Amino acid sequence: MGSSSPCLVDAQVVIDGFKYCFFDALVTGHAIYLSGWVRTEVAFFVADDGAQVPIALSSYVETGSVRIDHASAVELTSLAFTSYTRRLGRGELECLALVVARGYCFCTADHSAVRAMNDLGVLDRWMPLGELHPAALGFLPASEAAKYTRSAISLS
Amino acid sequence: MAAQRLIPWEKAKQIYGDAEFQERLVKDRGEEVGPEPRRFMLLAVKAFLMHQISRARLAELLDINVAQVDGVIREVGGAGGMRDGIKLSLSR
Repeated sequence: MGSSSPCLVDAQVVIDGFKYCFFDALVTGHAIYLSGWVRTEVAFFVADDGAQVPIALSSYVETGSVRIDHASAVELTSLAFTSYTRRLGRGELECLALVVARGYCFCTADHSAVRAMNDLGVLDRWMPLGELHPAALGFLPASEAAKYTRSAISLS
Repeated sequence: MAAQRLIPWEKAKQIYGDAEFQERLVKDRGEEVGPEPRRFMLLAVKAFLMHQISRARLAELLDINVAQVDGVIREVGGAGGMRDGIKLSLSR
């Protein structure tokens, strides 16, 4: 699975991307997508002093460096009656629906989301940030960088 | 019910803010009276820390933004604050 494959990223990746200043590098050279719901979740990051710093994604969307995709009702219905609706947020559910139906990769560090991908048979579409864009880990504090590696997630 | 998406969060907040509802809470579950039921918040955080729910789901349950989740976890003392020996599980 090459890093050039279209890749959805979850809200936390975007938030950390802006907070730790690797988002521009991430969207350069990678086909980065957000699900429509994740787009609405990304509003600000919390700086070290507690201030909420707005995230301006519009310019990235307008220039096409970040693309938005929406799962259809039919695609969402495939997950509607599963336990994932209790475990995952709406944005993650939409991302999973898109991964299953359209073959996107999905960049997330969330244990529940990765386990769901495993259950759904699409674990090969999981793209940890450390593999999608290894240089991003250098921007993160060690404690944060660790969560974005494949070994951080236990599937047992 | 809002967490299960049976009613909108706005409706849940309206019900929770109702004086009669709060009076009933005082009688039955005094520790849950206030702007938000702390026990629910603690359970939701615990479910996240035990990898039973995702970060985004926790944000939905607490009606906060994903970016605020780390602050809430720090507020309750992180994983260390959740070590009460009680295990949580959601059915598959």
